[in-house]
Amino acid sequence: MSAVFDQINRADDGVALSSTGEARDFFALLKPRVMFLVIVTALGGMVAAPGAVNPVIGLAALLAISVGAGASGCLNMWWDADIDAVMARTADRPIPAGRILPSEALAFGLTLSIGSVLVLGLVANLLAAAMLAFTIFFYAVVYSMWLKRATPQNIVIGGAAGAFPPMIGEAVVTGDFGLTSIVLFAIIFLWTPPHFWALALVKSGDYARAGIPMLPNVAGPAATRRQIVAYTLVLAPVAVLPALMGFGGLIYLIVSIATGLAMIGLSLRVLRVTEGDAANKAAYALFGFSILYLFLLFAVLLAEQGLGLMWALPKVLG
Amino acid sequence: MSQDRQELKPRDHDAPERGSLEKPAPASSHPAPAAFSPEDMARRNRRSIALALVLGGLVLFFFIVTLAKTGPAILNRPL
Repeated sequence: MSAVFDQINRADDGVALSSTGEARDFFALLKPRVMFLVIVTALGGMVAAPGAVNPVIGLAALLAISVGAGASGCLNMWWDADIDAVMARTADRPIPAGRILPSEALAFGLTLSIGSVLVLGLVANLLAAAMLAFTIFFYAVVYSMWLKRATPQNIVIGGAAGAFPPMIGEAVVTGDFGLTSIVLFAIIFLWTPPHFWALALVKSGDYARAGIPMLPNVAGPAATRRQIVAYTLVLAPVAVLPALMGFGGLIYLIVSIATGLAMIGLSLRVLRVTEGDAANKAAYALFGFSILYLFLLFAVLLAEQGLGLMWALPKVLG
Repeated sequence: MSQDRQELKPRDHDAPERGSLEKPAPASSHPAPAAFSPEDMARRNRRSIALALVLGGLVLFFFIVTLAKTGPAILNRPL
């Protein structure tokens, strides 16, 4: 029986048709940390939306959105296996490390993509499903297959894919999307360039070896540092808008201002410190804090809405 | 410009091709099929168990979502 099993898993030329990857390798293909951020941001869009949804339906929709995000990450890893193999940061991913076959990753990603869109369409509505399908297409095809290797603006435009989840979240609740989720979209969209360029400053050698035209490799570190500061100066005030529009409360106002000022401070340090280990440390500090920043903004939004902490903040626009 | 990028990117012949479906074929054209080791088989068994758990979870998921979608009035109808 075992001999038969071995035979059907190997082609005539001895090439394996099936890997020995474990469940955790397949889970790693979904980029779990990105999935977690997508869950937080999509949930932020759902709770900030004007309306309510059955909690079971809401949870099911959230699961579909996160699986859809994971599927797009899986397709990204399938397509980028060649560059992942030459970059130290990504060389141990399941495909370049040889634990999962590219064909398995492709089948896994496509299956989850189709499944998550169908499930979201069935449990929520067609608009939410269509937006999830577009998000997967945008990340896997527009960003991964086209922009990433073609332009230094890759992560600026591609950042839209990561910014869609709050809009999908609102579409789940209301069947539509409005200003609320557009503001949340703008926050993530503006957050993406300083976040990735801070990492690209440190890993520019990796990106050069892989042939990826990240901004530091094409325009140089100095121009990248200026762009990081410019985007952060726009991001920080935009991140305060939820409080001014009435769907963020007093705690959100305080947190968004304080963390926004910290982001500006860290980006200015990246601009000032340009040599040696100190420059790398400054870029890493901005990269690390930017993750905490986005998480905090949405976590506070969720806590305020979920725990009834919307203190009496005058609604300026809402 | 694209020529420059090409020069920046050495081809690693051991690395999988971009978007390729399979691993590159080994140098020898017809090697003898190698059997999975006991450790490989154990990994595959764990993977199968995980797949079964996911499928079971999906059944439960669809059952609960169906109940939520139809609502409590599902039994309150003329037969």
